[in-house]
Amino acid sequence: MSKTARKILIVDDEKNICNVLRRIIQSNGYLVKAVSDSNEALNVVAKFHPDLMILDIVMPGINGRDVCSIVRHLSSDTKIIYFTAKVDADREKSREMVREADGFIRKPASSKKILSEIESVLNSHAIKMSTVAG
Amino acid sequence: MTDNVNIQIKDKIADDGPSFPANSAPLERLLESCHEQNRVLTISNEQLKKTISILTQDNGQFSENESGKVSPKDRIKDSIFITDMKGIILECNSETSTLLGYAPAELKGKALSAIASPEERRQIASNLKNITANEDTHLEIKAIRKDGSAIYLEMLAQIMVSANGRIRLTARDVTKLTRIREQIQQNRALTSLGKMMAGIAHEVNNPLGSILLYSEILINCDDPTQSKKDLKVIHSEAKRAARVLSSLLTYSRTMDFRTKRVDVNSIVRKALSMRQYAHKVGNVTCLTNMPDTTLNIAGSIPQLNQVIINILLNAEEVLKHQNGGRILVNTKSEDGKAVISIADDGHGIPEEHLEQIFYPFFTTKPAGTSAGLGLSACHGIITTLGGVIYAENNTMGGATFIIKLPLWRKNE
Repeated sequence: MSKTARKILIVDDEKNICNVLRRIIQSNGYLVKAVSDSNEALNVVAKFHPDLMILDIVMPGINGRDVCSIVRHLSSDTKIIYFTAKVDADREKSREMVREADGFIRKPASSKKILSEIESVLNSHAIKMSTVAG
Repeated sequence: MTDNVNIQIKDKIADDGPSFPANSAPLERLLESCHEQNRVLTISNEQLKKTISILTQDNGQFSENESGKVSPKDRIKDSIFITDMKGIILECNSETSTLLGYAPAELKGKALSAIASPEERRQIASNLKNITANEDTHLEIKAIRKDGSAIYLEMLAQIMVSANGRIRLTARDVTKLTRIREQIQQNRALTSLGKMMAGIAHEVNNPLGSILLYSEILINCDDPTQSKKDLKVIHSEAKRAARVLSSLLTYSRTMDFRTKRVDVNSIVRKALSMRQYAHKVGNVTCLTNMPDTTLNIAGSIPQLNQVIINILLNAEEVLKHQNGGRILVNTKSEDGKAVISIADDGHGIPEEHLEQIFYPFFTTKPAGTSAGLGLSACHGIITTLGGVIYAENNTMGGATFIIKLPLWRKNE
């Protein structure tokens, strides 16, 4: 079964991560955009309508969790995977963070892991309700 | 606290989905144990607060007869010393025996500083010299009992009105309280260590993320120009990870708590660089006005670092509620003192709290979230070094913390 050209948006303040992820995911048949500015990302979501976002959490300006919350309101069809090196001291807060997204990948991760998580999230039919904007 | 932090970064990458990967399990356990200790100690704090308020209700007013001899009320358990202006003990009540193990007769004629631990004798002598008729002088000393054991005493020294050239000192045993404070401080150190390790893990896992993915691409890449570019990224990310760990080692080597000549400017700069990333993601702009020269005082690097970081953390916490803001840091030398000021443009501190924030257990945060010891620990550190620390509200609407410490003199 061939993959349809699904749209993926990468958001990470590290340009190196944006570049390498874009190349890897693109070479697997997806249509990819990458931005390193979280404010800019929201504009791109409105125009690009990605099927899925790969979102870093710790970023200057708007952090990834706030982006997630806003995107849930803007576009209920967009799935979100957190891709982060963040470790939360509080176990409960950590679980809360994981539950917000449709998928979760901890840095560092292999391309195999990333691609498999993307596929699994895109194929799942579960819908995440948007959280109340804080 | 040891000065080696073992961070093991294993080759295996977690393939098991959204849970902590195997290589951070020790970190997880450490953080959990810190949280548990915090919960237990917060409960102890509440109990102690109640005990302290009961003890301080009765202030121990003593009656003085004409000859200046003191007759303590029977129910008051404080120990009382009467000394001359040089601190030589002339009279003491029977409680002093229970407290120190010496009979009152053995204490008469002894210098007060003689019952203190050796490292504090000079401090007591200088405190007594500075006593004035208008103000009570508070001392906290570690005293040595006759049997050689140590106790912590809180003392109140007052110049006697009814007798010339006499000082009355009231002493109370605060050993239990002091030990709990020390335990809490150690716990806070452990918790900050845990948070620091989480920060380090984040700072190292980001470059590792790049290195892993770029090397995977390289394995399959035949284009030499592109390969070279990708290799350069790997190289710089590897160096970045190495720098993070190297700065951790440098920091751990400064864990020397002895007092010696230290440069305030270098300590402040170091503390600011430690908060740099947090400021970046918290939209905090930090402006400094510090001379290029050194500003030397007598102190210890880890303690002064703790004070500066504590004040910065408080400012950042306030600014979080307004999504960022400014912190202005100034240092200068003035009137024989090193002066450090840290100002924010947050919401300021209510007038009635300006002094209280430095008391132990004072906190405006919700119950159970903070033991309220940070600023009182800072106060303790700065006053032990012979300095002052206070807060005032500034023209930007926020608060300014000011620290003044005596400049280093050659014969310290």
